[in-house]
Amino acid sequence: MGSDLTEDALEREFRPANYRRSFELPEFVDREKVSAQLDQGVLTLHLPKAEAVKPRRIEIRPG
Amino acid sequence: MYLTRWSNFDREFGRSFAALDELRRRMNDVFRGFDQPAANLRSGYAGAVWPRTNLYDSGSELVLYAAVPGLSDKDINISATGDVLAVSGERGVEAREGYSVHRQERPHMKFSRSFALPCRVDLEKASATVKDGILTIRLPKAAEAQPRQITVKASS
Repeated sequence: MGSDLTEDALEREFRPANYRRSFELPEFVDREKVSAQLDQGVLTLHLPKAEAVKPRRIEIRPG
Repeated sequence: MYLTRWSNFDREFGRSFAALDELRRRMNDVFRGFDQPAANLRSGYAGAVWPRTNLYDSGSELVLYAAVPGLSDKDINISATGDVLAVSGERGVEAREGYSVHRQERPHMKFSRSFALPCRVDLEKASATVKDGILTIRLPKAAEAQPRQITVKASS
């Protein structure tokens, strides 16, 4: 931060940087429906599970 | 509470020896760790300084930037005396109710840092804003700390 500034830095604890991080995703994430939003400096990724793997309630029928 | 000390000596030193400056920063991190074990245990980050902060001097004011992703004005307290600035607050958890946690590198934490400023500032004119995860604190220098032009007169 402050790369656009002309002020002299007295102290620097963070600087502009390139970053890259990988996360292994389980098979059941529906790649087509992944979405992302950036809000107040926090990146949120939504990784919906494919319909097929969502927990399904199994009704017990009277026998 | 650890007091981060910023001085003109550091500034000149850092300018002259960039590599040594980096070494100094890392050493500072190590000593910070020793200085505040209790705070680190509370915040859940052994050895981590939070929030990371940059300080700039424009001549007439000091500008401090702190990386506080996810925090809003309600989460941050700033207090100051003439030349010491304190920033504290709390970071909540963003996981929604009903979600189970697989990975948590950004847990709930309380934070508190103090900075010894390199000069006196005018607290009446100080201002702070938070936007896109960056806290900006502007501290206009006190009248006696403002840069002054000294005219060289020819001796007669």
